[in-house]
Amino acid sequence: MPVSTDYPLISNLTVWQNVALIRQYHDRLSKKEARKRVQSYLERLDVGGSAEKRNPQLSAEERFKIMMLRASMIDDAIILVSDPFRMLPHHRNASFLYDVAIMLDDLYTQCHIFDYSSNQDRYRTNNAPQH
Amino acid sequence: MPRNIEIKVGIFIIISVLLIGASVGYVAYKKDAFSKVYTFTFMSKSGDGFSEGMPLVFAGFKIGTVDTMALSDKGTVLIKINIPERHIKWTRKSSIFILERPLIGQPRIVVYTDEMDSPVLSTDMAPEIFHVDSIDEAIHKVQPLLTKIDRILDNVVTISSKLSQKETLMEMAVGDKESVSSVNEFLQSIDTMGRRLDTILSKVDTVIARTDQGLYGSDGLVVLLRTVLTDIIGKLDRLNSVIDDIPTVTGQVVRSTGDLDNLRKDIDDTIHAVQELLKDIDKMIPMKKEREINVP
Amino acid sequence: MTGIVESIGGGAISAMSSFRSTIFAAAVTIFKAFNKEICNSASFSVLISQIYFTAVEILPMFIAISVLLGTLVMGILFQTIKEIGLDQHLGRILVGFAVTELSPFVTVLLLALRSSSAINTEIAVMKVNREIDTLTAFRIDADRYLFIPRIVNGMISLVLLNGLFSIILVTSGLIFSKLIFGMGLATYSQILAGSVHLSDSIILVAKCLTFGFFITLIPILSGLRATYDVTTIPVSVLHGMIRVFLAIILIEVLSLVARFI
Repeated sequence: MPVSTDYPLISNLTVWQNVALIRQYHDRLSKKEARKRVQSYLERLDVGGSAEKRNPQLSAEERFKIMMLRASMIDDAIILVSDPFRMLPHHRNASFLYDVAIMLDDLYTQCHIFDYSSNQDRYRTNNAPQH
Repeated sequence: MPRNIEIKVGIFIIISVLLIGASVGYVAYKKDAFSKVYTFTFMSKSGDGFSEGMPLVFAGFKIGTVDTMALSDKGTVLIKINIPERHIKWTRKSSIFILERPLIGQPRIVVYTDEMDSPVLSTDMAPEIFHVDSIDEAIHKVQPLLTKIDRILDNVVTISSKLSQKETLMEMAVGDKESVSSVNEFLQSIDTMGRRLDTILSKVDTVIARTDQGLYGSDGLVVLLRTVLTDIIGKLDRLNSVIDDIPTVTGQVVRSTGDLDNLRKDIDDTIHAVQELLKDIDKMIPMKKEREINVP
Repeated sequence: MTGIVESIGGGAISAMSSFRSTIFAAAVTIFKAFNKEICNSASFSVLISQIYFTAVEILPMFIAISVLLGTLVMGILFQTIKEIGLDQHLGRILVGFAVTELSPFVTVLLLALRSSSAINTEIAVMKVNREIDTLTAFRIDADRYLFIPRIVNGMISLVLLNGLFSIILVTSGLIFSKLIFGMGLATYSQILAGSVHLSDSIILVAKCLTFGFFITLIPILSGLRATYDVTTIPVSVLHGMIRVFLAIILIEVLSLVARFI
């Protein structure tokens, strides 16, 4: 599932609705059940208070977390993060990106990051995953 | 999505559906959709003018609907009409059923019930529906009667001209007193008939506006015309017999020639009045002249 | 000269192509609407929010317009009926003109002005922002999630609002029948009931459903014709609204033909 600026959050839905939409549509979860689950994931990512916000009201970090969470909502998801520093322009390295991926690691099977080779050095951080 | 949006949408849908449902239900109730419906069979010599869904009307109110039509083995048309239970009381054994085809509006079957004490119509009866093709047919039916009036009045003119000839008058005048009073009585009758014809004219006017009942009802134009014609014919017979008697009584003495002048004046006035009346009839119910019908 | 003929031909081909694609999209939408995958809470939420924005939010203004227009039209209509002596056809005129023709036409115009333009803009913006692509990437069928709830909303809203408009018209009629003809409720309702026919009612509901279907489908299709360029949004809305009004006229004509066959 893509995490990219080419696949933005739906602007007329709130944060929790953007995430819950995947479960509601594919797993036919009720709105109440989907909301409950999404809220727990949002709190895990420390963005529980942003559940009712919409895309333009989010910070870059919040937006990235929500997009990662949304991509994790598909069962056995393989996440493809494309050009993450376009979404996180103020970040010098991938440390934040790794932290988010680790927080959600039980929700996806694989996570691949695609970026320009010029950004290679930004991925050499202390919390870089082994594989 | 805020919770109150769902509540508002729910309230809107419930209220709208209830309002629309109540309106539809009320109209359905008024259309007797929920009441028990009885099917009556009617008979007609022709199926012309009938159609499925045609209304059965009593006093201007729809009380039933034509359901189906079929041709019987005897060659008559059987018409099945559905009548809701609450309207059955308007159809009695004595009721008359007439198919009306007005110039404007849908054709309909009209029920005329005078005797409400008569037993209610039962489903195993098959009363006949009579046809009336509105004004055209009404005029068509009235026309022979008017022609008859015309002919009778021609006779009156002939009599008048005969009376106006002095020698004939003298012949008549020298008749007995009884014969003269007989003629006077006849002339007075003609005057009365003239007034009745005036009444008929006003009815013709109404007919053109739309009153088939005025034509065919118990007080209708046709009935009145028949009565008047019968009356005229009867009086003419009497006059004829008087005239026939004149030659036999010429030998008797005349009383006064002044009476003769008055008599002739009366006859001329009456004839003139009747001729004017005839012109009016010609204008209102066209036969040979221009047609003048006020479209409602 | 050749250029004029060419442009006429091009316009005709374009119109035919647009008509064909609309009919094809309508067929696909109807087919998908009866698929069980449509039944999910996300699509239902979209339906509810659409009904709210289309029918509930507009309600105060709609009722005000209905009362104003209904009173005016019924007053003029009844007075004219009295003047030309068509009293005996009062019921038929009331049902045949006011309820069957005027009511759906005014309702569809109000909804088209408000909701069709909004839907067209919304879909065009979603297309430009690549939000439609996002749904596709997450294997969410835009037809089932976005479009069908909007179309169903159009149909439901139109039928319900038309019903309310008709009730307001008939109520205005009751008031004017009392004032102009001195007619009571019993006589009025009897005349009204006598003039209502099942076939007319079926055509009325079918017309409302068809109106609701096309005043939402056409803006959606028009919105999808926008490219990733923001400047295509107003062009898309402009074309969409013209097509909506042409569709309204076409449906109105077809319904009249159906009524008088």
